[in-house]
Amino acid sequence: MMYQQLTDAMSNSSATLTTLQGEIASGLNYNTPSDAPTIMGQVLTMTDRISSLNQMSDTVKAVNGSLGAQATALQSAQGVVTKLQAIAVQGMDGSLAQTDRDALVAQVTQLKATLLDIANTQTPTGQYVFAGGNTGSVPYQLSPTDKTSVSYLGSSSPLRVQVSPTSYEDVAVPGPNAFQITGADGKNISIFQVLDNLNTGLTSNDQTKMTDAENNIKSISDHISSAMSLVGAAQNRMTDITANVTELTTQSQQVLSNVRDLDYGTALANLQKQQVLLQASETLVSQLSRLSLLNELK
Amino acid sequence: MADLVSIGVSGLSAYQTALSVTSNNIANVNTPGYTEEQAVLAPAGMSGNDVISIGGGVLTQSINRLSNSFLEANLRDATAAVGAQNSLVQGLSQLQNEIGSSTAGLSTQLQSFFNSVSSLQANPADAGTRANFFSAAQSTAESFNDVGNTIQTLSNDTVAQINNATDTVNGILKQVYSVNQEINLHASDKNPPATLLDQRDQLLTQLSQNMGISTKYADSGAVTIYAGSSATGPAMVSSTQVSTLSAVTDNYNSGQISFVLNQESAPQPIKPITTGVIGGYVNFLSQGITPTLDKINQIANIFGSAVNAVQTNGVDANGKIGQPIYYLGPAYAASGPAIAGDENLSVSITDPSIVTGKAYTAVYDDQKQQWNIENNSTGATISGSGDIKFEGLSFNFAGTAVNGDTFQISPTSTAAQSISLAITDPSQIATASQVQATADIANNVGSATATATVIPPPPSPAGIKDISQVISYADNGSGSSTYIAPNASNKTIAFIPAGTSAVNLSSSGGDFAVFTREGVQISGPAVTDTSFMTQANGFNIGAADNYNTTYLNQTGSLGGSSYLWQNYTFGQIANPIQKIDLNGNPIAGSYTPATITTSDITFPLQLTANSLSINGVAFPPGVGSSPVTFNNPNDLANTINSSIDGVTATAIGNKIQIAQKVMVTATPDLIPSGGPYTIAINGYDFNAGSLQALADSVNNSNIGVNASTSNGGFRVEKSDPAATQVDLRIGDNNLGIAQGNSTAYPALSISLNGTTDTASIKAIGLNAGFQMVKPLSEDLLIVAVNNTNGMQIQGSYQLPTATAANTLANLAETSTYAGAQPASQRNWQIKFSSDGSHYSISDTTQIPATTVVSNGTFNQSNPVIQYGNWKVTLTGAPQANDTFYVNPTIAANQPSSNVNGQQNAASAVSDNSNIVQLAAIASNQSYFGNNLTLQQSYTASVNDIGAKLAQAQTAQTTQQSVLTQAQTARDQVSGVNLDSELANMIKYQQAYQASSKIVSTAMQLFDYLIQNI
Repeated sequence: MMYQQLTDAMSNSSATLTTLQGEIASGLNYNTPSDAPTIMGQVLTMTDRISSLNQMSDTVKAVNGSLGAQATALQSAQGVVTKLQAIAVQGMDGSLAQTDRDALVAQVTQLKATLLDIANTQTPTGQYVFAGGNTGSVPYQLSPTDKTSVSYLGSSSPLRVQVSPTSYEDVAVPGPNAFQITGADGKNISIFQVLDNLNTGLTSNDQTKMTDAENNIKSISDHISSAMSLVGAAQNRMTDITANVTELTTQSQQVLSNVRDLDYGTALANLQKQQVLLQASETLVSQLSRLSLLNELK
Repeated sequence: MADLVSIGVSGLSAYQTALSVTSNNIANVNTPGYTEEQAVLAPAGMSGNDVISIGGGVLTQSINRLSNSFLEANLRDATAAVGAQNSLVQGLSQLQNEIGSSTAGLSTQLQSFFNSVSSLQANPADAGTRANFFSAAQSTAESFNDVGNTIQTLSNDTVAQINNATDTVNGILKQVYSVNQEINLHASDKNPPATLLDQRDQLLTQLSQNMGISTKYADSGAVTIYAGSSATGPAMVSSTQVSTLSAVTDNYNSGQISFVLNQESAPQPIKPITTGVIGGYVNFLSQGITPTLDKINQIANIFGSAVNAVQTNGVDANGKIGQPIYYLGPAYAASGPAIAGDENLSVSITDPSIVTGKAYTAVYDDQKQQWNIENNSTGATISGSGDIKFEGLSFNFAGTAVNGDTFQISPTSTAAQSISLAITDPSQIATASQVQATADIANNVGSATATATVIPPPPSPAGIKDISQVISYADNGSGSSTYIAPNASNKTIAFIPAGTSAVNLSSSGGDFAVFTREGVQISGPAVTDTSFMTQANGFNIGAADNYNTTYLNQTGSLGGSSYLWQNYTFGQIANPIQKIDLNGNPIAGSYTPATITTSDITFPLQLTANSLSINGVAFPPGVGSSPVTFNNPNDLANTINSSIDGVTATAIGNKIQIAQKVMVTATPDLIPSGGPYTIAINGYDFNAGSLQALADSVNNSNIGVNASTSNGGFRVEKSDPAATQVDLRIGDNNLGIAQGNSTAYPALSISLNGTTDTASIKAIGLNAGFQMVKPLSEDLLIVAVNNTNGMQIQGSYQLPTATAANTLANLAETSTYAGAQPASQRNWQIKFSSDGSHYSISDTTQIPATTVVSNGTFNQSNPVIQYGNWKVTLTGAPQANDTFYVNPTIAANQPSSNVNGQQNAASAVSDNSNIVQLAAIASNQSYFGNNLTLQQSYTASVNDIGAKLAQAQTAQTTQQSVLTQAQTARDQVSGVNLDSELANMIKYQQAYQASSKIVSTAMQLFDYLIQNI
């Protein structure tokens, strides 16, 4: 009877010791839900939250990649447009000879090709940044027949990406929002058409056409600037979100660590205590075994 | 002396017995179930004479078992309780180990699924993110399968454990029975053999480890055993019989277990077993397995259905409407036949959405030569043969059946086990929305961009009756009259469901107006207060602000200014009537032309010029809207005859009868120049040199026909249009008139002419009404107005017939019916007004494309435009006259002739508007009614197992100490204590020695006597 009780006490002590050793080995307070059902819930929730925050940060990085590519492209485009503006002004100089203007035409054609390349910029992952929502296909296409006119085949709507559970971000501005303006006649005209008109004006020394083109180039330059500020603002928002996500991740990890990580001091003290208890029980058994009437009957 | 010897001998014998009993006790100190025995000594009988009496020594009266039946029973109960907790703890720990991991469980898998959604929506055109989502979707299904299978296996193992324990119980029961028999053999003995009783008690303890029992003892010591905590119900074992215990599992729900005795011979159900190893496993099934499995299945079902709902609402990379990603229904298997036939049954799933997941039984009925299939849970039945379709399943019988043949059909897996990927390729993931919004890049001045999403269309007006509930519908479309109480003014009486045609309604005692749900008024008096245009009255949100009277009371179909060029009339419309023969077939040439007779008109009658329209011609003639006065009926009839061509008006008392003329006309361009002209009318031949002579010749012939010439044309008409006896039949002619019966009998209509004032129509003795010929693709609302004294509404209509189920709820805006397309196949245009503050929406698939079906004020702070089943969000400020288009994503649904900015739509590959909806599933807290998301619910159920395990472990510790106490209590009474046995031994040894001394003293006394005599 007494032996049975002692045996039970010893087996309890060794079970507790095993649990403590498990905790010390894993460095975690709780290993299974039954150890602490409510806290384990928190642990699971926090783990999922950290995982989703990491994903959010990845998405923001991807969006930022597209925005960065577009910002760079817009800057290059602005440089090209500034050069074109100078050429248009130069071309309007009545004292120029036709050969000079022809040289300008060649330059304009060259710069138009550069602009076309810029308008078809891709991100490192292969998305066309000026294609609006149609990121998978070339947005500005040179007419295969006349090899001069350029048409926009991208989407008029940007790709709207969910960057957090509640907010969406337009990944990039569609091409026409940067490279197209409404002309003085109220009709929409793209930079490529403007350059074609400039070339016609230069070739035929048509001052009106050149003046129109010069004005339009100026408007497009403004338009590109406003697109740049849109993209810049979006980049700022992404930076804010990234900072926020980083902060939240740190906090979540802190909370997770608070609830889950083992307090080694307490655990080791408990280990010591349990070992002493076990030893005590064992000593007791050996003591008890000597207690018997038989010993006294010799 | 002899006494002395016999006393000594009695002591020797008694103490030898006592020593034997003590030795036996010591020897059995470690024998399980051994009960301490005690020799009971008593003084032996008297001897001597009457004066003195001397005791006769000692004798062993009995050997007592130191047993206490209460303590034994207590010990058994405690043993059973510990047994139960042990198996519950064992089961729950196993369950927790299998599904409780915080890093590798289903929760983590769901999280990575939603992470893959996030990656995919950020770059839908990328094959890599698509493949990533595809594999995440697959591993999520596999995770569900793993968890489902694990729990199912654990459930099966537990049932097997219960069966093992039941076998053990049956073994013990048999042993108890044979011990009972042995005990009964010694029934006549004074003391039943202690060993048998020890065996009996030992068996009872073993039994109570497996299940809680109650006992009754016979005088002989034989035991009767009952299941549970009270000695009632059928006995499991008694002196006369022994039963067999069986666990019966519900084939279709392994969490349900019941116990019966003698299942093979005479089944007798017993009380549920709640303690012992068996009870512990039963509790584990009901507290651990069943709720967890149910929850996991529920999560699997909700997750799968939610993902499928998003997927099927979108368009995949192949430009097709998304197919469900997951298959969710359970698999079914049939077992049987139970009797003799050689037939077989294969069960397959035809419609997963309605599969019940319940079990079925099929029984063959030889007399009717058919199978009767019954749902075991609901009792729903179906009969048939061959391939029977029932509740989403197909039961396919083959072979020859005999009467009474039975098949059991049961679900073989649960949702979590069977959820599997139903698509085969990442390109089938529907990332794109069904509709795309585009800006008109070529012409828009503003740089606003638009994105569209599909939303659920407004449901049929809630709480509002459809027209068939107000005006009962007969086969011929005619209806009865319904009284509308005066308090129902400015209230919607009924709605005309989309697709209803040939509507012809009229009212008396009050007016009614007809609106679209977007607030476009089609017919009736104009309203000044639009506050009744609420959702409660069936209008869509914003209808009151967008009230539109552009199409109010406008008539004319093709090229007119009516809503969608429909032929509406606010007034009366009459159709020609054709007679039928006895067989119900129309009689050729027996038309009565369309006729309208007014009620009594008060003269003098004053009408506003051009306020009415008769057959589309303005009436009465006059300048602008000047008043025109008619003094008597003939005055009015004559004016109608002179100003409206093709009708005949006749005054009948104060009424006017207006009838469509029956006539044929030859247009001048078909008449050859220069005669002679010939024509055969109703069998009479006429010819003349000129048209006028021909007309005169016809008019003079008196055959009830008038002929006339005007502007080079030639017209023949019946002189009495209402006369039905003769038709107008045209034969051979050289005027270009088609031969045959004149069957072109147009309808006659009298209506308001684009005015909103209903006074004119009433002044000429007609009730206000509403007519619509062709079906519309949207619901119309009938609203009672000016209903001050109570009104009646009556009329006829033709319900849509294209769908098999003529239920009106099926005819909401998205549904298809004859001639209409679902909203996702139409093309819409959003056009901003010239000041940019308003927009109007038109359906460019309809004719005419310019009809504005909805309009509204644009709100830059909430730049959302919504109609039917789509919603467009604008980014940036739209400018004056800017145009946006909403088109189907699916190329096949785009109109070939109308490209509406289609070239600038995102393609089905690169659009992400649909896939972003999937992210919402992760955070949706409304699935379980407890504000938990799917992941949280799973976590909660894992924690629930943890909590139950922790609780069971505490109970186990408690029960263990209760058992220890019970054991102590029992051992104090019945256990062998070595110390006390040793003390007894010394005691008995000394008494034995003393007794032998008595004998030796007696011997010495005897010797002394012998020597001294």
